[in-house]
Amino acid sequence: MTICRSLALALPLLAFAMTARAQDSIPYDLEVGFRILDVSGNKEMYRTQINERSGLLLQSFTLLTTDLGGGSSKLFDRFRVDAADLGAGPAGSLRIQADKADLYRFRLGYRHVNAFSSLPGQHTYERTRDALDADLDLLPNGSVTPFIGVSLHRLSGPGTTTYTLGGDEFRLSQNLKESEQEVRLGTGFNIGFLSGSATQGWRRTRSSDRLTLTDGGGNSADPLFGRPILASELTREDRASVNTPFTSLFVTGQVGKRVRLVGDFVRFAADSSGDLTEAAAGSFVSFALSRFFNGLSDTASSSAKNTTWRGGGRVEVALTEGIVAFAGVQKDHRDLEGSALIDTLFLQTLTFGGIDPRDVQVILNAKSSMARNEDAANAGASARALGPFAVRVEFREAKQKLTVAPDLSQIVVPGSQGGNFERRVKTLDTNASFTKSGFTLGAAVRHDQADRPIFRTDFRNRDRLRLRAALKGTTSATKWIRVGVTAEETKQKNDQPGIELDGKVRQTSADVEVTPHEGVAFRASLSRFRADNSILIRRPENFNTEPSLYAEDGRSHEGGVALSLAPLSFDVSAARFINRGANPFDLHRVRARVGFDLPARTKTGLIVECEKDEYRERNAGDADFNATRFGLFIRYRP
Amino acid sequence: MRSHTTLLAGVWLALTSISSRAQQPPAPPATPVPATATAAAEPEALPSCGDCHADQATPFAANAHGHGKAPKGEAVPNAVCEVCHGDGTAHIEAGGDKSSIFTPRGLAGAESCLSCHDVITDRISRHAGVHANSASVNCLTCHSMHKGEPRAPHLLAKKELALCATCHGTQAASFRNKPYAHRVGRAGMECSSCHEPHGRPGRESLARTRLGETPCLGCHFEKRGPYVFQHAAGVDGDCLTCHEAHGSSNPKMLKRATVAQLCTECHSPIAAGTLGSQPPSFHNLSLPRYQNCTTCHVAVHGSNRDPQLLR
Repeated sequence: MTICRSLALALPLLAFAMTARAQDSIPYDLEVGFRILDVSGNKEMYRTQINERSGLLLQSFTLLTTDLGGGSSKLFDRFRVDAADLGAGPAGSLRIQADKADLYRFRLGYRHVNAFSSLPGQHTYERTRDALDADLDLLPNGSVTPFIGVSLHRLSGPGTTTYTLGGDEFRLSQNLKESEQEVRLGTGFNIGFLSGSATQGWRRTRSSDRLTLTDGGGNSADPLFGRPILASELTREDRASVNTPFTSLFVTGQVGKRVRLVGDFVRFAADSSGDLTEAAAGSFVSFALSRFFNGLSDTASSSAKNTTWRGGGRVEVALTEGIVAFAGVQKDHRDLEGSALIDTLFLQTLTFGGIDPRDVQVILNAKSSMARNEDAANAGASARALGPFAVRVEFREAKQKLTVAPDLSQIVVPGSQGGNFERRVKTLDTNASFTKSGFTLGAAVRHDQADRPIFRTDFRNRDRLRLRAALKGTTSATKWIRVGVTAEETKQKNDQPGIELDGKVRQTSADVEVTPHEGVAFRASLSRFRADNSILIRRPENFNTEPSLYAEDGRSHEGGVALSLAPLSFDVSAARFINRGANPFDLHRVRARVGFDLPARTKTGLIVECEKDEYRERNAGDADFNATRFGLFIRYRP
Repeated sequence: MRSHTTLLAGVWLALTSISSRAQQPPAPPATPVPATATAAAEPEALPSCGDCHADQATPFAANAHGHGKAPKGEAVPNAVCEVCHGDGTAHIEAGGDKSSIFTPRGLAGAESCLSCHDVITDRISRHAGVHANSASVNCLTCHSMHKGEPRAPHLLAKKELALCATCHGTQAASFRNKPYAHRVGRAGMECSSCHEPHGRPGRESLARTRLGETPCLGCHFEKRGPYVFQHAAGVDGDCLTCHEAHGSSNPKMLKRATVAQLCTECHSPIAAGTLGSQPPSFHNLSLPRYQNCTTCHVAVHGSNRDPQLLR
């Protein structure tokens, strides 16, 4: 948050400073101002869904210049800065690009996200996520282009969670810190008929998670066997580190004028180790141990490995003008294995009969492993220049294999899920389109057929259909209108007894854009989302089998108008989304933005924004909220 | 398998046959002028393209194709225009006759883009990709060549979400209207953050991380693991087993309104041969306590200590 506010202030100052130093004005576009928020109803639900706050906001900033440095010795051919939503927004971004022909190309991207979640019955968190990526290419456009890249990611913030221990559930506060650094080196090459790139990188991830009992979180209202269940202390500290070296290579070869070959390979090996400690004090009960106990001391050291590689080859052959045949194979392999040495000491235990035996100590060496392989092959043809027609046909086949070894602790605790699972999926994917005089008609049909599922929710037959029609005026008499209609349907089935999966998702949308006059635009759209899903489940409390039904029927209506009547401009839109089915709610949104350009010599404009969101849940009214945001911004374009 | 092969072969032959008879698109300029050409190379006798087309030639200097090719505020030299439009001498001599100059439009226009941008990589193909050039979707459908607006990255004709929405309206409506959705179109997150618009179909259309991982992990790196006890549903990085990436009516962008429903659809081993253990019998789903599985199974993406993902 501090970084975002600092950037929101620093960028305009930087632009002013650069403009002052440059011989000519440097073109930039700045929109900065202040936003006020008013929320009534469930503020936590508002923050979970929207989370835009009051305060200073750099709405947008773009600086683009080819003049910095001046003369032939200048540092940049091009220098560009883009920023958006820095400050009081839940997410902000900054991007810097600089390049000088045939010498270097530099890219830097930064994103900041403030994530908040507080939902009934679920854990809460308020975390910030920062991601910075920078890449420097040397000698771009040359036959060999070395590059270096750095990425820094960070996730941190407080939260609350729950923990079930000794016959009750306790509320814990959480402090999470995760960070990741990545460095990559490599080179691109373009030598003769071969081009591609090779990269070697190293990634390091560190995480620490500290959990402590919240105030009042250790009390229980209901004693068990006349003994209170309470926790006076509960702390847990998890630390983990992951090191991941990775290698990637791709090569493209042009053989003659018609044949292109592509090969790719990427491999990484993630190696993780963790140390975990836990201490609890209070009064607890364990039915599994048939004992009362007054505390717990638990340590665990863990290690896990993930080795993944994927490689493949493709060929594209230009048969004739506009017709390409292609084929490829791809192999993916991933294996995971882990082990944890867990040492648990239950303190001051008593049997339910009141006898005081020795402490119970459990040392468990748990192991797990999974391996996943996928071999895929595809072949097809694309004809994209058949006059107004274009057709594409592709056949794919994927063989998946998953091996899960039951770990030792799962043998002790029932619920083993080991085994070997194989699945073969064949896919026929086709699409065609017709375009003439601004009218487009397109269809895409895809059929997937699998011999068996691995997960219960896997399909055996899936059909996808997508239809689209659009009209865009191409003549002076009709260019003011654009209309589009899209319909999509996905059906998936697995008739296997005991599963009986039957799912259907249908989505339709229609939109129209009318621009009767320059500076005047109307837009409207209707869309509908319907989902119907059924699958057999077993209820754990009574082992009865019954269908699990999920249905959704959502309709949205949107409309807007944009007017540009200098010096005034308006952009107003409204949307209403009504959802029925498993989670019924109504959501209304209104956005209005009014701009007024001050006299041209000032190069300044004023912008007023108003946004309104109303959320109403049909089943539980305590989640409802009304939120209104007003913003006043100054736009400056020197 | 045999029927599919026969079908493919038939379609291939049919396409080849149709193509040989299909009308060839107008040819783009045969010999593009190097983009580095400068005003000094201009024949002095000819007027500048910008004399008549100032509205396009002047802002073009701020465009990625034209930057550095002309002094500030002036139109780019003719040689820059001729890279795409071909030699304009006949057009100028004919007093601006539209038929005597190549105007890149539609599929034929896109072919002139490919004379420089015909990139093929492990993920991208301009010929066999999802949006491979055709009359209905081509370079000029999404990119606006004369755009002088510096805030338009990649010369996109519109803001990215609005642009993709012209064909993918249902997905765009989900982002705009559903209460739990990624903030696409705001603060640097765009459709292309997860999708490679020039990629091949299927999984190759995803903008994978440098390590070939699903794009979700590019931001949600903390879910990557590896863990001692990995949730098998995410073993191949398939977050979409449980989540709706394009926006959901359900909290956490889940596919079901309640967590218990989502979990029990896999964790109900009625039929043999599928992966997914059974929850213990004391989980009475009619009680609110058990309807939100992640209240206790807090480490739902993976745990380093507990096979039941309890901590």
